[in-house]
Amino acid sequence: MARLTALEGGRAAAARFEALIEPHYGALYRAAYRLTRSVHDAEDLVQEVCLRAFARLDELQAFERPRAWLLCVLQRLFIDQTRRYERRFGQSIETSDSGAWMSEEPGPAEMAEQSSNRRHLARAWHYLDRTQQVLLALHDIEGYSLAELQQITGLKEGTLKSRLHRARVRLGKLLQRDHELELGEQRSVGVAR
Amino acid sequence: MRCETVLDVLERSVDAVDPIERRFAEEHLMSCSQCRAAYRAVQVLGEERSASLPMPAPGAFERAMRVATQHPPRQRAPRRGFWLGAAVGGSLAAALALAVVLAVPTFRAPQPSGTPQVRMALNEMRTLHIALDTPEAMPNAQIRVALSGAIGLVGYDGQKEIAWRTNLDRGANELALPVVVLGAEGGQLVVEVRYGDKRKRFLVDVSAKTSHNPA
Repeated sequence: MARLTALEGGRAAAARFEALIEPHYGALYRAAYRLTRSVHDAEDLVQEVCLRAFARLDELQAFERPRAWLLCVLQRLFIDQTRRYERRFGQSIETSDSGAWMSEEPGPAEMAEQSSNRRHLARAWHYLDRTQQVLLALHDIEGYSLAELQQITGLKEGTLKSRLHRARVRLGKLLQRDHELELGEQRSVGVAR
Repeated sequence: MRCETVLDVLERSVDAVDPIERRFAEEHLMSCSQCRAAYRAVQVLGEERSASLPMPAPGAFERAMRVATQHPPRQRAPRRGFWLGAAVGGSLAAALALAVVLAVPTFRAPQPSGTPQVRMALNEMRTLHIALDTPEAMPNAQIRVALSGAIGLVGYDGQKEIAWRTNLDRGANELALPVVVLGAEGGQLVVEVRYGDKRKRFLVDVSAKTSHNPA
C-alpha cells in the first residue's frame, strides 16, 4: 500500500509538472532556438531546463511568474554549456535543419535564398559573447521587455541597458564588417577576372 | 541625449514620442557611429524575429517531460541519435539524422550553434559526404539539393537545383556531393529529403578562404 501511494504521488507530481511547464514550453523552445540556432540543441537545452525544474517543482509552483525563472535557468545553462558544445564538434558536424517534417511549400530553392542580412547575422552572431547573445536574442528578437530581462538575468536596469547597447553596437559593427568584406571580395574577384 | 536611450526613442511609435525628443534622437543618430551600428543591429534582429522559426520535432515536449520526471535530477538525458551510427529511436520525424563529413577534414570548426560552415579555397572542388541515418527503410524517398550564392556541383554546370528518387536503407546512407566554390562570397547548400507527404531540410554554409580570413 505504501508503495502504491508513493507511485501515485510520483504520477501526481509529473502531472503537476507537465501542467506547469506546458504553457511555457513554446517560449522556452523559441528562446533556446534563438540562442543555439539548432533545433536539436534547442530541444536538448529545454529538456535540460525541465530536468532541473522538476527537481524544484514545489519551489517553481510558488513562483508568480515561473517563465522568468525557467528562462533564467535556460540562459545560464546556455552560457555554462558552451564549452561542452564547443568540445562536442569533431570530425562530423550536425547540420542545422528545419526541425519538424513539413508538407507545405516553400521548397528548397526558396529556402536557399536567404536574405543577405540573415546571412551576415548568421556569421556575425558567433563573434558575440554568450551574454550578448542572450540579451539580443531575448530582447531584440523575442521581444522580452527590460523589466522581464531584469528578472531573467538578475541584472540591474542600468547595467542591462548599457550591456544591451554595447551588444548592439558590437553586432552592428560585425554586420558592417561582414558586409564590407563580402563586397571587397566580390570586387577583388571581379578585378582578377 | 545618452546613447543608451536613442534607440528606445526611435523604436517607439511616432505618436508615443515627443517630436522634439525624436528629432534629437535622429540628429544624434546622424552624428554617432556607435548608435548607427546599434540601430543597424536592431533592424537586422527585427528581420530575424519575423522570419519563420523551425518547430520542435513532434513529441519533443512529451520526451522532455518523460526525461525530466523519470530521471534523477542532474543526470544528463541521453541524446537522441543525431550522430552518425548512434542508436536512433522515437518517431520518424525525430529520428532522421544527418551529418556532414568532409573527405579531408580541414574545415573550420563550426561554432557551437548555427549552420555549420565549410571553408574551401576559391575554385577548389571537394566532395562533401552527407550521411543520412534513418531508423527504417524509406523506399522511393526524394532527395533535392539546392544551391545559393557562388557555389556549384561538379558535373551540373549552372544547375542550382537537382532532385532524384532513391531507396534509403535502414541505417546509414551516404550522399556524396562534389562541391566547387565559384566566388568569394561562397554560398549555401540545402539538402531536402521527402518521404511520403513529409520532408526535412538541412543546411550547410560553404564559404571561400580569402586573404582577409584564410583560416
